[in-house]
Amino acid sequence: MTTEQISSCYEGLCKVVDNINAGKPDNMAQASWDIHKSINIEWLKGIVTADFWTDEDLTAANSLIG
Amino acid sequence: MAGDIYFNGSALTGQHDVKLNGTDMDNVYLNGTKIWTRHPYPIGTDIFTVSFGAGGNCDSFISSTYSTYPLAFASQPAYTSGSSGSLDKRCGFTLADGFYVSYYNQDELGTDSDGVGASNTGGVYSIYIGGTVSGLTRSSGGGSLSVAGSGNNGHSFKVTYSGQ
Repeated sequence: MTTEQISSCYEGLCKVVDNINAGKPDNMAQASWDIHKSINIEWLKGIVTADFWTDEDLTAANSLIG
Repeated sequence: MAGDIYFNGSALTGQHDVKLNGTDMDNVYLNGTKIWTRHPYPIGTDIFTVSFGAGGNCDSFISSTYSTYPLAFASQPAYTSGSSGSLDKRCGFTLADGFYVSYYNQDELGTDSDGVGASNTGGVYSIYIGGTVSGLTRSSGGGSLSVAGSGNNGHSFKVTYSGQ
C-alpha cells in the first residue's frame, strides 16, 4: 500500500474509534447502535492485524477490541 | 487445471477469442478435457455499481441487480436479518469466481484503499442498512475491505470482472 492509502485507512480507523467512543447518537435506536458497534468492532479486530501499518498509534483501537 | 494457454503469444481476455471457421466457440476441449471456457465478459469489465442510502433497503439489489447480472453472483442475494421494512436489515450475497469488489465508498468513512483485489475473487459479503448508517463487510473468501462496515449515511460499491 502507498503512504497515502495507509493514511486514508488510518483516518477511517480513527473515525470508527471516535464514533464508537462517542457512544450512541440520540437519533439512533439502541438496537441499531448495538449492530453498528458490533460490525465495526469486528472490522477493527481484523484491520489492526493488517501488515501495512508502520508507526501508527493503534492503542485506542486495541482498547476497544480488548 | 494448472497452466496457461496462449494463442500467438497473447492471453485470451475477450469473451469470444476462440473461433473455428469464423464461428465463436464457447468451450475448447483437448483430448476430452475442457481447457478453456469463454469469458462471460471481457476481463476488466465493470459489471455494476450500486448505492445504498441509510434508511433504505436492498430490494432492487436482490431482484433487479441480480436478474440483470446473474453471472456475477454464486446465488441470489437475500436478506439475512430483518427485511425490506425493518429499521435494521442485512443482505448477504456471494460473488461468483472471477468477480470482485473493485471499489467501496462509505459516506462517512471514506474509500476502500486496497480492496479485495482481482486476486481474491468471489467471497461472501454482507450489506448492513440501519436508520442512519450503512456499510459493506466481507466475511469470507480472503482479503478484506480497508473501510469499516457501518458508518453514517450511505455507501456504494462496484463489482468488476477479472476472469480469474
